[in-house]
Amino acid sequence: MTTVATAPQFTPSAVQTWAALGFVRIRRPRPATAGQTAPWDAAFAHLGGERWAPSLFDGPGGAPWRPLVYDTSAFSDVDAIVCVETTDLARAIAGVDRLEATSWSECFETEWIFGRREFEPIGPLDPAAPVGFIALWQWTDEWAAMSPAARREYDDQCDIAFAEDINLGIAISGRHRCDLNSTWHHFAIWHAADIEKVNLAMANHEAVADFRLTLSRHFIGSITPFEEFLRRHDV
Amino acid sequence: MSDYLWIQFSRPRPSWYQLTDDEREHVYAALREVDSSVGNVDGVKLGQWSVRGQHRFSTATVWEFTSAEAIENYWSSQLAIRIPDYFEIENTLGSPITPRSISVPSITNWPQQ
Repeated sequence: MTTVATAPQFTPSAVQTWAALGFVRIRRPRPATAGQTAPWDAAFAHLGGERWAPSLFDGPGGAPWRPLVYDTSAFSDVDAIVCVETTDLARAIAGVDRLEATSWSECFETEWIFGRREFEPIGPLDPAAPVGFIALWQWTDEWAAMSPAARREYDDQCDIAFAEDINLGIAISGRHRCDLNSTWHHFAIWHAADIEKVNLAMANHEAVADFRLTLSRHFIGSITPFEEFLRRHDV
Repeated sequence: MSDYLWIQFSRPRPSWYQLTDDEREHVYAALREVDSSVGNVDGVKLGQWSVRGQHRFSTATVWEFTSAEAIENYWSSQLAIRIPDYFEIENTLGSPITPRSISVPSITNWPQQ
């Protein structure tokens, strides 16, 4: 086993921002009431004005403000995943409610999970990376019964796999904690050069028994600008 | 309604069944103290219901909180006494529906009362 010295240093977040993770399904057909709500542009402008980050890897901003989209339609029953970030939970909830009061809810059915940032992003971020990997996980009964020392030992093993992820050129969003409002406890998003790198990373995590003590749910999506996602799916 | 809803589904983990009666009572006492430390201005527990008959969880506990911060504080205090070590927990958050937040009736929501 490699030593802990090669493990990545996840930096605890100095300020605990909150993200809204959205699982988006396109409504087909579009409801007959289409057009009766305000267009989402006003909500997007509001979120931009409040300086929300359009993804977990971006700082605030972007003009016009659009959420980054992970197009998961080729691989799952969810058409897209978005993950945007703001200063606190109350603002995150209000921002999502504002967006849902617009044409967003006519076009999309979205499940939202709010998560508190615990760690900062880590790894080599390539702005042109095409593949997004979205992971959610929860601790098992076995982990719940483990002592703090045993849990730390398990964490050290996982750090070996995270070091390999970064060697594969994968950027990791950090970690968010979402058990305040979800069956899931944590989520994280990766940006990678291709799906093969993600599969290799999964094999490395399996090798350190990462999945023995967690139940996991994973999504693969192509990283897509919002307007391109609309065009591709004729929304 | 102008408060946040917080529903906590819970079911005992194997570790809970392995405790002695005294150890379980110790956890119950700690949880009672956590619950009673929530000020009326922050939230109120509406009750606790058995859902074992038609859910994979055993119990649903329902709270109203006056702020998102109050929910964060309450969850943190449950974590401090290690509730998730003994119970699998699934929490659900509901945000207030006010005339201001819904501009026109949406087909995605129930009719407003």
